Amino acid sequence: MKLIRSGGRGTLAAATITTVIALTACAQAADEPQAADEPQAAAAITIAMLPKATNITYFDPWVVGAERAAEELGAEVIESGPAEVDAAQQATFVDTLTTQGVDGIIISAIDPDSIVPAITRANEAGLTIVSSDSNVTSGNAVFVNQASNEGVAEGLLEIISRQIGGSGQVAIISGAPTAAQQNIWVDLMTEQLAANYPDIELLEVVYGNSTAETTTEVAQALLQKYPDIKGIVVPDAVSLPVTGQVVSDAGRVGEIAVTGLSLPSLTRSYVEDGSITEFALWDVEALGYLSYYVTHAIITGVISGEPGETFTAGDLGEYTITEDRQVVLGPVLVFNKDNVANYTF
Amino acid sequence: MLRMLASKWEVLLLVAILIVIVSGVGTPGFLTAPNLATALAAAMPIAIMTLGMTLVIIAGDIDLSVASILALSACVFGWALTTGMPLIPAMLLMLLVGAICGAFNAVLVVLLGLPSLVVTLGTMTLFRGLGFALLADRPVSTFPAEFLAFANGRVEGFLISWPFLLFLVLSVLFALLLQRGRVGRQIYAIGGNSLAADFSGVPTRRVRFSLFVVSGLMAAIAGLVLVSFLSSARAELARGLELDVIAIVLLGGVSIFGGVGRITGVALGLTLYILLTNWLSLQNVTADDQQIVIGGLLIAAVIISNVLRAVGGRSDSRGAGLVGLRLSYRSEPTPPEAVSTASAPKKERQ
Repeated sequence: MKLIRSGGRGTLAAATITTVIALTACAQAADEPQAADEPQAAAAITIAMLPKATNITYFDPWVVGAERAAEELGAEVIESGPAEVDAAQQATFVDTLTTQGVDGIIISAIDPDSIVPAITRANEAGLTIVSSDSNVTSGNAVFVNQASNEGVAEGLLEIISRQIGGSGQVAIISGAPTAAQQNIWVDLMTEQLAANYPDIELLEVVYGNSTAETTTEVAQALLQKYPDIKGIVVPDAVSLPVTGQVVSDAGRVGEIAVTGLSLPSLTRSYVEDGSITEFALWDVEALGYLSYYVTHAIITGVISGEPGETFTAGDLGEYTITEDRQVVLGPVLVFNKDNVANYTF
Repeated sequence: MLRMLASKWEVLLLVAILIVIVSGVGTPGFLTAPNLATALAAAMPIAIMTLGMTLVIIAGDIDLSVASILALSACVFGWALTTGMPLIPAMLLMLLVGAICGAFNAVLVVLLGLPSLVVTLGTMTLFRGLGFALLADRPVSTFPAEFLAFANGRVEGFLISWPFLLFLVLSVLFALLLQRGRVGRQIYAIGGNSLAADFSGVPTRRVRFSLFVVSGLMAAIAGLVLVSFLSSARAELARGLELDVIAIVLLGGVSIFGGVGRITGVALGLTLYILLTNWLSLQNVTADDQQIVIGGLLIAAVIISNVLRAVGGRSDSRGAGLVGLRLSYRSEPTPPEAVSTASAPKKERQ
């Protein structure tokens, strides 16, 4: 027993010493290839796509669009991002991409504020940051807006008003309470409802946090709380089909109109079974494509991101940077039974 | 022998860390000071919470509410600043909130004798709910520049951040407390066999109560770091982080049944976690796939540590078995006052 013990201690000491030596060797070895690698990085432009979370279907076509643009431009794309909608994790990914030495990051921010310190570090390291889909407070060169905010709000209200016959109680289910872009739409819808739709009463704005679980809870709560509710507007890609499901499960298809923003691929079956008649969205693939083009143009010095500058975004044509440093993709698309099957994203 | 078992585990962790480092030699940017400094800075909220959690778990309890305490104290801090409270009093208020939350857990667990798993599962939701009630959807995102510099700046002349320095100081204090002091021996005794500890004169209730308060306080300090790092105080902060904290503590060799573990092991577990996730990210491994790796690592850790203990138990403690090992574990020779009635194998004290 004694022998084994002392043998154990010896092995232990040996292991520790080996480890220390190896660690030191590693630290030295690490410096050399590093320096040799640097000039190579300048060769091909690499832009990272950083969605709110990699497992949100909405962002798949966004990345596909960027890949198509990169191919046309002879540049590279990497997709990165947190597994869950977590602002701290997203900030860490900005830091990781900065370390990797990419030339630019296209980000859809979970939280416009808490990403700013990481973006500042990225800017200091010479990266170009473009926000796309959901804006950041500062540090971005431009924001690529999917549609004018007024256009989205008006489009959704026009659909819901038509479906409920212009009067009755409605509610809104948005994404996370901090999602900047969704908050803008919700505020605009609230204002426009008060101003232009006197017979429609907005009951409440609730938040599904862009998850199926929370959306199911809040949607069920709405149905129980307001027996006379006639419509639900859901400006969130995850929450819209889930809300359709809740209304369908409650056996109230036809009584409660559901519309909002989502992907045709997620919502198709609900449109086909009638629980959702019409919904809207922009072309997400074109959004990723446009975002890539504008970021590439800034990195290569074609434009600097100043208001009034124009650039050509491949087959989408020419775009101008607006006064508030935005590039607006275009009007929203409306999907219904007749056209929903034509879109693959 | 038992001391060696723990050391063996720590050597294994060291080897794992080494493997990650060697694998990372070819990864551009990985072994550079700016990258490691940033990765460390980002991990400090988790790191600080592991300290309190280590003590709580060694004493045989668990605290699932740490991330929610972080969020609630951050909300109170943000709210206090918006009411015009100066920075330092607001920070102190935040720490006080953390300690009060911990004390609330302690009252339910220690004084009312409810299971900590259930109590902190409840307060996990409760505390975060209070945070939402306080700030609703109005996150606070303007802070004094000197506060933001705390987590985002670097210690003058060094690459390390202030929170990392704070963590180093705290972890040395915690290691001394746990591995060198009388309180540490009492914590091990309580986690090993709370009843036996009670009979041998350990102030079981007082120690357990204090540990929940310490855990709450650490969560509030972690909150201070995270709010400064993200420049944002909101109720969603650190959602789900308690599981990362517990995973790291267990990876560090702390037994979920209590009585076993060391701060040094947890520090190594933490290092492994930080390096591995950072390296995987730099390799463009998606966050989803990283979760698979971390989950697999944790399962492997539990299996290997159990095998190690079983082997150790057979070769050295002569039939005392796993329970005996757990009871007798400590890094110091057994003090007579701590566990004299615990059924520690006699051989250990020779």
